[in-house]
Amino acid sequence: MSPSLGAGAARMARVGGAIAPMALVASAVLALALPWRAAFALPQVATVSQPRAASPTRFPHDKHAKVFPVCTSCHAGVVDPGQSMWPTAQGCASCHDGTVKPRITWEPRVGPRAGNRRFTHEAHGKAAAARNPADSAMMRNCAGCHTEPGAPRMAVRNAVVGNCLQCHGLKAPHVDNGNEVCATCHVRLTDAPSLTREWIKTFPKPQSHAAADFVLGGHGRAAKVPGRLPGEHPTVAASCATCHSRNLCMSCHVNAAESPVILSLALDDRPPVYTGTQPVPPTHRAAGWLGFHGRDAERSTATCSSCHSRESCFSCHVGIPPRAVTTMPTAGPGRAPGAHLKRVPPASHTSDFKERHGPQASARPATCESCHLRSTCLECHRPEGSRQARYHAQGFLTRHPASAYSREMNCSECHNPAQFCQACHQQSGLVARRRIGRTGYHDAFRGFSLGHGQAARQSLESCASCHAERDCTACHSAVGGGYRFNPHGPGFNAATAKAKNPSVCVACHGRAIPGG
Amino acid sequence: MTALRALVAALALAAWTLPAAAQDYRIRLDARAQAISYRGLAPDSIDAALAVPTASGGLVTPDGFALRCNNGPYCYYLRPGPELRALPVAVSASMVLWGLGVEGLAVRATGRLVTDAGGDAPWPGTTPNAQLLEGYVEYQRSPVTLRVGRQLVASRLEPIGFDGGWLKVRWDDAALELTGYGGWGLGQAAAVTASNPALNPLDEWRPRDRQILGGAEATWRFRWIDARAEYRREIDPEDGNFVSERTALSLGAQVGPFRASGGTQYNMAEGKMGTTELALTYVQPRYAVTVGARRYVPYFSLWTLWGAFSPVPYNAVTASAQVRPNGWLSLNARGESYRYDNAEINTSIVPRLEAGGWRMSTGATATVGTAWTLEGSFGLERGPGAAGRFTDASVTWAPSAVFSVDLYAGSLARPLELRYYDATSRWIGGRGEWQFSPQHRVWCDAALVSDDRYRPDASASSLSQLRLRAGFSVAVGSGADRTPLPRARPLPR
Repeated sequence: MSPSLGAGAARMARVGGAIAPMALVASAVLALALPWRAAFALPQVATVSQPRAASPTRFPHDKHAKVFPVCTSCHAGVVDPGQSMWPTAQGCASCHDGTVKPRITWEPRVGPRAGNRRFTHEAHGKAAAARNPADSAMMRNCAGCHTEPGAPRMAVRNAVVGNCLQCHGLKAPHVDNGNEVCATCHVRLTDAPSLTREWIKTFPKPQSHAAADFVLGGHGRAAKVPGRLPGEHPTVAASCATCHSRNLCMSCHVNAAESPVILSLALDDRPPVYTGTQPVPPTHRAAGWLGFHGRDAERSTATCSSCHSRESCFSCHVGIPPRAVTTMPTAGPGRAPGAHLKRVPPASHTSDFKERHGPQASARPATCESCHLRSTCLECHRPEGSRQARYHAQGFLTRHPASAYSREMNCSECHNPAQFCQACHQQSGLVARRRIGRTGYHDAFRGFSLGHGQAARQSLESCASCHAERDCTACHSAVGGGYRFNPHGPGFNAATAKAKNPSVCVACHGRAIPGG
Repeated sequence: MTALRALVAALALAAWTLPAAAQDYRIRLDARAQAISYRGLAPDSIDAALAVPTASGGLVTPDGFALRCNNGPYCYYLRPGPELRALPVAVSASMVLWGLGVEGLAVRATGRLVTDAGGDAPWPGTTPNAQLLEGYVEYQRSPVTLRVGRQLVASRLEPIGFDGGWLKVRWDDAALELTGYGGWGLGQAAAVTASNPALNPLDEWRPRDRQILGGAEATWRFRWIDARAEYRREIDPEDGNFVSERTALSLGAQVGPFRASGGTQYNMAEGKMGTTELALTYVQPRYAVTVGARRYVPYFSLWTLWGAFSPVPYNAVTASAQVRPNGWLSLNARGESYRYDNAEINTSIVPRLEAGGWRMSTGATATVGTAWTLEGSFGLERGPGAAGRFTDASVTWAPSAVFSVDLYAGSLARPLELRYYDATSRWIGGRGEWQFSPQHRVWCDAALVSDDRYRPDASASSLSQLRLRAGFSVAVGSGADRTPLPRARPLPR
């Protein structure tokens, strides 16, 4: 039973609490008024009717205890299905004729009994007789079911549920007997049209519904009854169907229309739907859940679609949807809206992730594509002259020399060095417009141009941001007036370079490439 | 012109398909402009006879600029350049068309118009004025995705643009994706070709023709492992020589709270290993720790000579941590230590440079209530030829998801590379952003920036300026599939 039903019951209790004093006042007024009415010698008329049907007044069995030695004198239908279950109005009028006793109005019930009870005295009697033919007292001992233990014979009431449970060997409280037990006495709620919304709201809540895991998983395990035959779909437990309809399931389960268990319940809008919050499953709180939820979704999409629609996935998945997503049901009329998700960055997206995302992006591109469009990458990977700071911090242009020189990041991964470095450095007067050593930019060391090799090999990309290749070949080339200073380090693979692109060799060596 | 033709073709296709039934579209426009000043250096020279010796033995100009004299008739020096102003303006447009009568068919295009509206010198990146970043027709029909047109491939081998075709086949049962692509390449990730003069401000050697590009990728996802192998080749069509030929392998794994990612490159054209890295992250809801190592190897295309100069790689170990002790505070720190391989240089003229360095930074973010965010960071770095110390702070007030105001300030002290210089920059500014409808957003930014360069000679200079930036975004689209602009601020955790 849902928390909302419990809340409804509480509301009813509050309403009842307000009604009770009013009823007392009304009763007092009525008590004062009745003698005044009696003084005019009008026939006294009392109203007696069937329980719960139309009148709050029940037949005072205790006052008639000495009049009726046996119950069947009025309720002959209990033992004889051919007769009425109720006394006739004429039978009552034999005493209540206005002279001997005040006249009453009494109309036996017409139609089936209100409620959801499956019980009939006839069926019960037959079943009892079939089980124990010698025990005919079961049908004669009315007090056994209709009085509290130890109560006088005629202190009868509707069947005492505890007596039923005791006879049937059930030790749990009434509503806590699980599964098929309910069906022993009750029909499905959807098969009990006489139950009103208000009545249903007063249904007691089983203790099982208060369990911590009842909403998440517990109710599902209890509700699912395997098919009795091989290949037969599972159905919903009778204990659930006694109080609930499919509408309750549909208020949460997005995939209600695909669930055989839920479909085994009929639609009925009388019972309240679930209005409580949908708790987050513990699995969703695990570290890295965002990262491996896809794996679980692949394994058991149906589990996800219990609470999530495809639109839930689209809260984050913006690219080509994973296969699991495509099999999720789409939200819309006739379906639960599904849990509303808020897009949050995964734990891996720490504060420095934008600088460190490259390896992960190349290793797990599909993961990135789950939440990011190509245009998101282009925001940074296609830089433009007037963009606001995004990838780089505010003022990075001012601070970029240190980061660029020490290769904290590979600038050329995103920026074309010529367009982005040389063009700007050219305007800033930082490029070498003539032979090395003429401008004296690197003046931290005297004679730097004659001993720049280590700096150049350690940070050649920085050199290329201000220098043209011809600045280097002026000295390092073997042709065109170069000084033949060998720029190749010991690891230089000349043979491979020549095989792949000999024109690079020709640029400095001419046609006389060493090694042929 | 190729870019322009592609843009016109895309627009023509869009116009042609307008009457198509059930057509949908989404267009986003971003306009940005900024006013900025900068000051560089201006080379100058004087007759060597006019050089004035100083008490320390150096030479300066009569007005105090330190000179570099090479026993020639002239001495050279750099004086502070004039203050130059720039006003770059850019308008980017992104468009998606679908519902063209063929299920799975879409047209995507992203382009921009950029210019310097009144600057003293053209702002870098403003030529050509019209640039087509991407423009392709896409057909998606599981398990195949096909793209034809201008597009960008992002991978471990760096992003590269090309005009051509791209095909991906997904084999879901084997968790395998195979991708192949080919076409005429662009200048790496630039929106223009490598032969374009815009990519050659120093008039260097450039290939005359666009390189022919081809590549393939295989991605395999199995449970908690992602593996990706790539191959890419670029050929100069003029002589058939290689521009590049490389392969790469990437691996990602996730086991419980542990995440590992890494990969390596192999430069087949030069016969040597490329950049290799491995990082291991331990993630918990309140903290994350990452340790890693990497070997950074510079890469140059073979139509440049740079690779022949044997740039040396460096090896680095990194560590970073982020801690969220409560719901409103986040602390982070990171550090890296690196060391270059032996450069194999032996000269006594210049003292040996350091072969290694380190960098570290730390920061904090505090969210006060639902509207205020305070951020601060501090960092240091020291390496061969460069060092720096920076401080940043910002306060953000975002009373709603559609409006925010930032105030920020920062400073950076840094000596320039191998230059007798000490520079300090400071800035303070504010930024406001307002998304006044789901489809419209406007922002502006103003900052006071001062840049002081300290030298003991007359080259010392300073520049203070007010930098202004503003932008406007519009997103329009059809029907229910229209999506609003991204939120102005990331959602709080």
